[in-house]
Amino acid sequence: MDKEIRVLIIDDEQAIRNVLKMHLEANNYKISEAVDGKTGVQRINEFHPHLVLLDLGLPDISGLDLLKEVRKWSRVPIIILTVSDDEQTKVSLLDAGADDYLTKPFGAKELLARVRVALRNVGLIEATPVFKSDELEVDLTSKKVLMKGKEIHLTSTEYELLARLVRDHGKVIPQMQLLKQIWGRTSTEDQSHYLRIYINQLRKKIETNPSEPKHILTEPGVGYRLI
Amino acid sequence: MKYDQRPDPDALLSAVDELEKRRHEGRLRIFLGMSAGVGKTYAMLRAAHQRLREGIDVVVGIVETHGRSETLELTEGLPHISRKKIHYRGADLEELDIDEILRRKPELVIVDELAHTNAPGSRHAKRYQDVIEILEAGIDVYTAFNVQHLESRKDAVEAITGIPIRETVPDSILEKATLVELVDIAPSELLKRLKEGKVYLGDKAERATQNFFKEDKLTALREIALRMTAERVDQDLQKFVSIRAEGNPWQTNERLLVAISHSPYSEKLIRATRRLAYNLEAPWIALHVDTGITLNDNDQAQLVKNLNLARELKAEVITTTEVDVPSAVSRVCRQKNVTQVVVGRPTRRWFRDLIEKGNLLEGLIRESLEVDVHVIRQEGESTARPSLLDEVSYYRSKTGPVKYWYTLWFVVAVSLLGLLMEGFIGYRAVGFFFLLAVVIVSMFGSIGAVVLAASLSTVIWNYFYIPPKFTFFISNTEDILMCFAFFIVALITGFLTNRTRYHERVIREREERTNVLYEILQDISAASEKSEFLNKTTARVGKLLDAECGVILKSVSGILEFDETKPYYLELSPKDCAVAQWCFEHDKAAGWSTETLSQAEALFLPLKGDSEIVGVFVFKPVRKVRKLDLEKETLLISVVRQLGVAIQRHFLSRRLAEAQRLKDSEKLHQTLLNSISHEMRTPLTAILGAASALEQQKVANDPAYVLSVAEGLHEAADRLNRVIENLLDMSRLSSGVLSLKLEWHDINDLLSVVVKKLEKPLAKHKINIHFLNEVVLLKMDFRLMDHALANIILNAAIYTPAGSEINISLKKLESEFVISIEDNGAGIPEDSLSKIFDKFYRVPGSPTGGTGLGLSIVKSIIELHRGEIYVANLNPHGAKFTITLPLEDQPAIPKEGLNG
Repeated sequence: MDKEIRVLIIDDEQAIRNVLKMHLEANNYKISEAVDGKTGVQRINEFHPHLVLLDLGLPDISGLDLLKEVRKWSRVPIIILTVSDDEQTKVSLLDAGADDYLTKPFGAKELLARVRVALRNVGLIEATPVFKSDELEVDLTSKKVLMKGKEIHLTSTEYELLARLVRDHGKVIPQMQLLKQIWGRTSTEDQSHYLRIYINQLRKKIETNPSEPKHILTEPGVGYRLI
Repeated sequence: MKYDQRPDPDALLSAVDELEKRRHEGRLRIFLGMSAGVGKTYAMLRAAHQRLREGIDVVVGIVETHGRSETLELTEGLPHISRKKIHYRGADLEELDIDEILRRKPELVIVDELAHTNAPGSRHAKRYQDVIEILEAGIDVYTAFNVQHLESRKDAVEAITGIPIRETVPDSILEKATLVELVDIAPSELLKRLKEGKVYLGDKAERATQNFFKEDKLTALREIALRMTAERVDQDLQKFVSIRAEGNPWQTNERLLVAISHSPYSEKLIRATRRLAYNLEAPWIALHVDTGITLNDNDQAQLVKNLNLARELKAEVITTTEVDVPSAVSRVCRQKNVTQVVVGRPTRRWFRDLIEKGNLLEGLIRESLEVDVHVIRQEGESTARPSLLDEVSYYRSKTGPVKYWYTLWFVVAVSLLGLLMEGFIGYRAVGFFFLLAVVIVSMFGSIGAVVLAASLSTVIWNYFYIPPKFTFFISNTEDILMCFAFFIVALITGFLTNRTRYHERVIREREERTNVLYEILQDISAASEKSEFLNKTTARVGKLLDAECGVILKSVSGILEFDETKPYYLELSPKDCAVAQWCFEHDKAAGWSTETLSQAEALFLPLKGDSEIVGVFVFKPVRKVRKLDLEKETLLISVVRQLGVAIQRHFLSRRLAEAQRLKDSEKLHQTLLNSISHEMRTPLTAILGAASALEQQKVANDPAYVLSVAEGLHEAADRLNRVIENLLDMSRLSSGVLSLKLEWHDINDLLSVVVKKLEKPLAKHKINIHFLNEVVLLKMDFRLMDHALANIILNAAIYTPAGSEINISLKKLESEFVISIEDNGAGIPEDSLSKIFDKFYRVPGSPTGGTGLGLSIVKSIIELHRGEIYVANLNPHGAKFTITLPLEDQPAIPKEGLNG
C-alpha cells in the first residue's frame, strides 16, 4: 500500500486496544488510541483518521451518542465494537450512521475484513461499478449479472435487491432499509417475508449451492451482506 | 345479665376493632335537641370556639344562623368553608362542599342540620352520608339535630305532634357518635323564647306554633330525648364493661326476626323490632316472603322502602320465595336460631283465611316453633277490616282488561255451545260445561277473571237455561239450590286451581333463580382463568337482567385498575369512573338507583371477597328504569357476592404462584451461580495456564508449541463464550413471550446460518443436511431459533465420537413443520430420556464442558414458539431430537415480471 492509512481506536480497555493495535499494525495501518469519548473527539480532529474503531461502552459518554455527535460533522467510516448480542442495538447503530459493527468476541480475520470493507467506501480501496466475487459479476452500469461468464436473468425486483447489496457490498444492510428502498417508504416489518422470498430466489440464481450461500449472507435479525 | 358467662372473644375483638377503627375515623359529637329552638347550634358553636382556643384546626362546614344575632356572633370568629352552589330548576341551592373539606382536611368540621336532604346533583342524597364520609376521612365532626328526625323515634313523634316528618337520619349514626350531648331546656323556657322571637321556625311559623309548640307536646318530646340519651349512656357503659371483659356484650342469646310485607304497616313493625333488638342488644333479621302474588307499582315501592328501612336500621335482610308464609318463617327461624318473632296483629279477613289456612299468627302457632311471638298492634284506620274488594285485589295478577275480554267471549262461546247441546243433554248438564269453562279460565286467567267467569256463567245459565227461560226467576226449588251450589263450587274450584298455578309458578321461578346461580357457580369453577368466568358471568347476568355488565378489578398494587383492554371491562365516562372509585374506596354500592351519586348511568357494587374488596361490579341497565325489582336485585347481589369470593380466591392463588415463582427463581439463581462459576473457572484455568506457558522462553521459542497453546486458548475462549451465550438466552427467556421478535424467516436460511456458525466445532463430524426444495416461511425469532438449533447440533457433536454422522432433515406437514436431528452415537441412557430437558440436568458420566442448561433453553425456546421437542433413541444406536413447529398459512407477496 502506497499511502499510510490511519486508524483511530477508541476503547477504554487496554487489552482490547493492544490486540487491535497488534493486528492492525501487522497489516501496516497507522494507529492512534483514545481511552474515552472526549479524547476520542480530540484525536479525530488532530489525527484525521481514515477509519475509527469505536467501543460502545465508554466511561464518559455512550458510544451511540459519540457516533451521533461525530456524524454531525464527519463522514469518517466508523466500526462499532460491541458486546451486545441484541439485534435492535445493531440496527439502531447502523441507522445512526455506523458503517459496520463487530460483536465481541471477534477474531482477527473478521476484524481485518470489516476494516477493508469500511475503507473501500472512502476510496482508499478502489471502487468500480463492476462487482466481482469468485464467479459472480455484477455490472451496475449495464445492469448485467454474470455467473461463470454467462448472463443470468433476474426479475426487476431481484435485480434492484442485488444492486442495492452490491452498492454497499461487504456491509450489512439492515432489512428495514432494504424493504423501504425496494418496496417503498411505507413498508413495515410485517413485509419481511418479501425479503426472505426474494433473497431465496436470488440465491438460487447466483449461488452455486443456495443452501450454503457464499455471496449473500444472512446477518441474523439484522439484515443481509453481500461478499 | 348473666355474669357467669365468659366473655365472647369475638365480641371483645370487635369492640377493640371498633375502638381501633375509630382512632382512624374522625370522632362524631352530636348535639341533640328535643325540638327547634333549644339552642343546639349555639351550644355547638360555643364548643367549637372552645376547641379553637385549644389550638385545634376548626372550620365551619355549614351552619344556619337563621338571622339570630347571638348565633351569628359566634360564627364570626371561625373560619368557613364556602358552600357549594348547586343550580337546580332555576334556583341556586347552597350545600355542604364535601370535596373542599376532604381536600383541606381540617381537624374538626361543624355541620349543622344533620337530617337535611341535599339538593339533587349532590354526591349523597342526605347530609348525614356526607358526614359519614368526612368521618371516614379521619376528620372530627360536630353536628346537631332534633330527636324527631331519628328514624326509630319518627313514629312516636308523629303520633305526639301529628305533623308528618319527612327528613330522617338512621339510628346507626348514634352508634357512630363518640359523644351525644343533649341540649336541654325546660319547655316553658322554650315557649318563652319563642314568644320573644328568638326561635326561627321558617315561613310556616304560625301553623307550626299552633301544632307543635304546646307545653304538653314539648314535654313528651323532651321525655323521648332524655330517654334516648339515657339509653345511650347505658350502652356506653355496657360497651365499656364488655371491653373490660367483665361480661358478655350480648346480654342475651336472643335473635329477633320480623316478618314484613309490602304493607306500609310493616314500617312500624320494623321500627318496633329495631327498638326491641336495641334494648336487648340482640341481632335481628327482617324477612320478606315472596308468595308469588303480583304487586302493583305502589306496593312494590313500599316493599323496597320497607326493606331499605330495615337495612338502614342494621337488620339482616332476607328475601325468600315460598307460597306458605308461616312455613317460610319457621324455616328461616330454624336456620338462623331465631328466638323471638315479631308479627303484625292479624286483621279479620273475608276469605283469605280460608284459602291460606288461617293468618300468619295462627300459622306460626301451628308450626309449633320454639319462639316467642310478639304481636304489634296497628293503630288508626289500618285496624279496620279490609274491604272485600281489597282482598280480591290481593290475588290480582298483571292481566289487563284484555284478559277479561277473552274471559267474556269464552263464556259467551260456551253458552252458545250449551244452546246446541241443551236439546240432547238437558239444561242441568249444561251447568257442567260452565263449570269446565270456569276451571279453564282459572288455569290461564287471574282471580278476577275467575270471579267474572263464575258470576257470568251463573247469570247466563240462570237466564237462558233454567226454566222459566229468559228470566232470573227460578221456579224449581232444586234449581235454586243447584244454581247457588254451582256458583260456590265454581268459585272455589276456580280459586284453588288458580292457587295451584301460583304455587307452580313460584316454584319454577325459584328454580330458575337457583339455576342461574348454579350455572354461574359452574362457570366459575370450570374456568381456569379469571377473565374466562368474568366474561361469562358478566354476559350471563347482562342477558338475564337486561343490562350491560362489567367488572373493574383491583390491581396488584391495590388500586382500582381501569384497564380498557380487558374483555370484561365496560366503557365508562370519567364521571362514572369516579363513582366506581368511590364505591371501591367506601365499600358501598353507589350510582344508579342508590342514594349515593345517583346521577351515574350505572350501578356500582363492591366485589367483596372473604377479607378484602377485590373490585367493582358495574351494572348498566339498558332500559331507563328507576330501580331493579326486588327479585332481580336479590339475584344480582348474590351473583356479585359469589363473584367477589371467586375473584379473591383467584387473587390468592395468583399470589401463591408468585411466591412460588420467586422461590423457584431464587433456587435457580443459586444453582446457576454454582454451575456457572465452575463452568467459567475451567476455561479460565486453561487460559491462565497457556499465558504462563508463553512467558517461558523455552515454549515461546518453539513454533509448534506456540501453535498448540494458541489452539488451547481458542478452545477455552470459545467455551467461555458459549457459557455467556447460554446465560444471555436464559435471561432473555425469563422475560417470556413478550420479548420474542417474531418475523417470517426462511427455514433453509436458518439452518445454513446455524451450520456455518458451527463449522469449526463440527469439523470432525460428518454432517448431512436435507434442505427443502421450496421456500417455507415460519414465524420465529431468528436469533433464538438459531441458538436452539445450534445447541442441539453442538450437543450431538460433543456427545458423539469424532467421525460420527449427524443427519438433519426438514419436513413440511399439513399444519406443522418438523425438524429432526439424528446422530449415530451411543444414544442417551433410558432413565435420562425424561429428564434431559430439565434445568441443570446432565447425563451421568458425560464429558465436562456443559452447564446442563443447553437443552432446557432449547425446550423453552421451542415452547415459546408454540412448538414441541422430544427425544428418542435410535436402533441400533444413536439419538434423535424432533422439533415440531406450527406451520401457518404462507404470506402472499406482490407479483412482478422479468427484468427487461
